[in-house]
This record gives sequence, structure tokens and C-alpha cells, in this order.
Amino acid sequence: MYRKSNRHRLALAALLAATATVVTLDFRENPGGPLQRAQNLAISIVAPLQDGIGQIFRPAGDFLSSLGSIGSLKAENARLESDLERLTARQRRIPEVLRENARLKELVEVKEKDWAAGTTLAARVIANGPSNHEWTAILDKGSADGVAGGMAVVSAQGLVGRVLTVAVDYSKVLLLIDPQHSVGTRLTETGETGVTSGRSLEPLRFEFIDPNTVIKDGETVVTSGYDRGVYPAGIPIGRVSSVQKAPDGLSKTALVQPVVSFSRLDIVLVLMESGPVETGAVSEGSG
Amino acid sequence: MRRVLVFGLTLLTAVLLQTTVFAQLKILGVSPDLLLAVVISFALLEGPSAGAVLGFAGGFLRDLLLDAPAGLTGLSYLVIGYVVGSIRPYIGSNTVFVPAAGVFLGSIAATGLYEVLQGLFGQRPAPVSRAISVVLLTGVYNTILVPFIYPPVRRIAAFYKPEKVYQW
Repeated sequence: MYRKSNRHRLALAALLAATATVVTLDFRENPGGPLQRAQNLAISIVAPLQDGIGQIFRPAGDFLSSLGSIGSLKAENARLESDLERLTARQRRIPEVLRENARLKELVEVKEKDWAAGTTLAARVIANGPSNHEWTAILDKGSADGVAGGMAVVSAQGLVGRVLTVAVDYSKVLLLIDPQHSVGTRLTETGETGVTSGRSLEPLRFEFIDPNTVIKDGETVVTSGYDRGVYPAGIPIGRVSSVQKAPDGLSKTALVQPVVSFSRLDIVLVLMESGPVETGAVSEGSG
Repeated sequence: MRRVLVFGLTLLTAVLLQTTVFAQLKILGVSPDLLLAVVISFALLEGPSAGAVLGFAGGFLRDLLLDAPAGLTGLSYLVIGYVVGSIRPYIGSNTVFVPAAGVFLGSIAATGLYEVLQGLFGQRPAPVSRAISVVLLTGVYNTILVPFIYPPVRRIAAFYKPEKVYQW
């Protein structure tokens, strides 16, 4: 009995050492290090499987995501239930292909908007992030299709997020609502700018607005295009739902309801000409 | 060897279902942590070493798919796998309440530990209220999943039992 528990302790010690190694590696490694290669490999292996499972369980998933709204108002529940009935009935009639076709048509219309000018690439969202702590999505397009880190991703409604990591055939997108995500934004009526950050499922926070600005409820918020060139200007982000004054009175904060429905992402567009400006190019231009 | 392969495939399946089907099932903004429930079930059935190894393996696989510092999920799951596996022999009962309570408390402990580690590493400062609701709801949802997870895991573990070796 003694030897057995000793063996357990040995296993525990070995695993703890392995964890310490991984954490250290992760903190110290340069881009392209062994752990990052392992991560890209993991996405390349897991993504096709996720794609397959996602296809099979899509109807079940749609049903489950409708279940997720039970906590809200009764009226909304009734509406969701009738929506669900209508949608499942429609789903039985119309094949998956037609639905995708409609989305793609919507995206063609988006192409005519200023902020989606330039080369774009349509991609399908095949899976979501694996935890309750981060809000990401896996797309079925990767570096083989020309996707690179930092590119903006939009849907027919507006900004979805930016590309975080890229494997050969898949890429991961950091969604607008992730707490790590912030973007330079502008109010459309007054042109005042600030920074909008994600807060999971709660409305986005649009901070550092001039305290004298008059902000209307429902006013549209768009990207300012100042975000070191990551996002082109004018991509819709959301609508103002309420305004607060900072305790020090030096700025105002607006809560913004995103226009994109993040629980139902399907087809998105990658803006191929967006992404961080290369520092080399900047110094060349100024010199 | 076959045992290792089957246990590994079980963890992989849990991660795949987590990212596809269960990612859509967000009630009050939180989805159940299928992988964690599977790890705890294995720990209850197979003891501390297996609990720690499977916790580490599953957590590390998930870390590779996350943007957070790699190793934190692995660490929290391996600790909980070990602790749950160590405590199990001291509980005489064999009723359904054992896996239910084990998964409930284990899920809360592992998710809480992960939140703390994430805080220590300065990642993603979530509001405290959000962190608390993630921890508690993960515990509740995982407990609801016990009837669907524990029996198949028990069947897998029993089918691929190693030959008994008496060491003492």
C-alpha cells in the first residue's frame, strides 16, 4: 500500500514538472517556437474532425442554442419558441445548401459597401472556442488560402473580429466580444472617437469619449480606422444602448450592443487587404 | 497499450463535442465542461495516477486549442484528477451520489483553480461576477451531465481494465 501511494506521488511530481516546462516554454518562446508549431498541428488535426462533427450535429446545435435563451423574458421565450418552430419547419423543407446560398448572396451585397472593398475571402465558421473564458471561432480557410494573422473578419452585419493564428487550412478568429479584443471606434453622428472593448456576453464598452459629446441611444458605432491599420474605417460594430459618465467626469462611456449575432456565425468574409501595417513600410514612407 | 489509446480517444471525443455541440449550449453565457466531467469520472474510477495523467493529457490538448498561456488547463485538471482520485477510496458509499458530488465539487474546484491561475498570469481579466458564475454554473451543468457521462466512462474503464497485479 505504501509503495503504491508513493508511485502515485511520483506520477504527480513528473506531471507537475511537465506542466512547469510547458508554461515556461510558452512564456519564453519566440513566434514559430515548438509550442506554437504544436498548436498549429493541433488545429490542423482537430479542425477537420470538428468540421465533420459540426456538420452532423448542426441541427442539434441550432436547437441547443435556442435552449440557451430560457433565462430571458417570457415574451421573448414565446417568440423564440415560435421562431424555433418556424425555423425547424423551414429547415426540414429547405436543404442546407439553399441556406448557405442565401448567406453568400448577402455577402455579395456586403461587397458593395465601402468597408468591404478590396479582396475578400469567404470562409465558414466550423467550430467555437473550447472554453468559457475566450471567445474565438475556427474558420475553414488558412495560410494556403492567403489568410494571415491580424486580418479583419466581417459578416453581412458588421465586424466579427480579427485573425489570431493561422494553420495551413484553418485559422482562428478572436471575436469582437472577447475581453482581450479592443478596437478604435467612432460615433457616426458626432464623429467622436474612443476605444471599444469586448466583455463576453455583456454589451461592449465604448470608452474615453469626450464628456461634452451628445450621444443618442441607438446611434451606430463604426471602426475608426486608427487602430494601427488593423481594421479599415467604417465597419459597423454595434448600436449605443446606454451612456454613463466616468466617476471623474473626464470622459463618457457608452455601452454598445453588437450588430453581429455571435451565437449564429456561419459564413464570414476575411478582408485580405487588412491587417497590421508593417513597421518597415512605415519607416520607408517617412524616410 | 490499447487502454491508453481508448482513453485518449475518449478525451479527444470529449474535446470535439465540447467545441462543436456544447459550444452552442450556452445557458446564461456558460456551457458545460464536458472534458472536465470525463476527467473526473476517470479519476473516480481509476485512481489518482490515472486521474492526473488523463487530466494533464486532456487539459494540454485543450490548451493547444486555446489562446491562453499553454499549460494552465493541464495543470488545473491534473491537480483535480489527482485529488479526486485520492479521495475516492475514503468514501464508502457506492451510490449515484458519489459521481454526482465528485463531478460537482471537482468541476467547481478545477474551474476555480483555472480562474485563479489565469488571474496570476495576468490573462483576460474577467469581472469577478462573471468568474463566479462560470465556476458555479460549470459545476451545476457538469453535474446534470453525470448520468450521460459517468456510465459510458465506467463501461470503457471496466472493459479496458489492466490485468490485476498485486504489489504488496
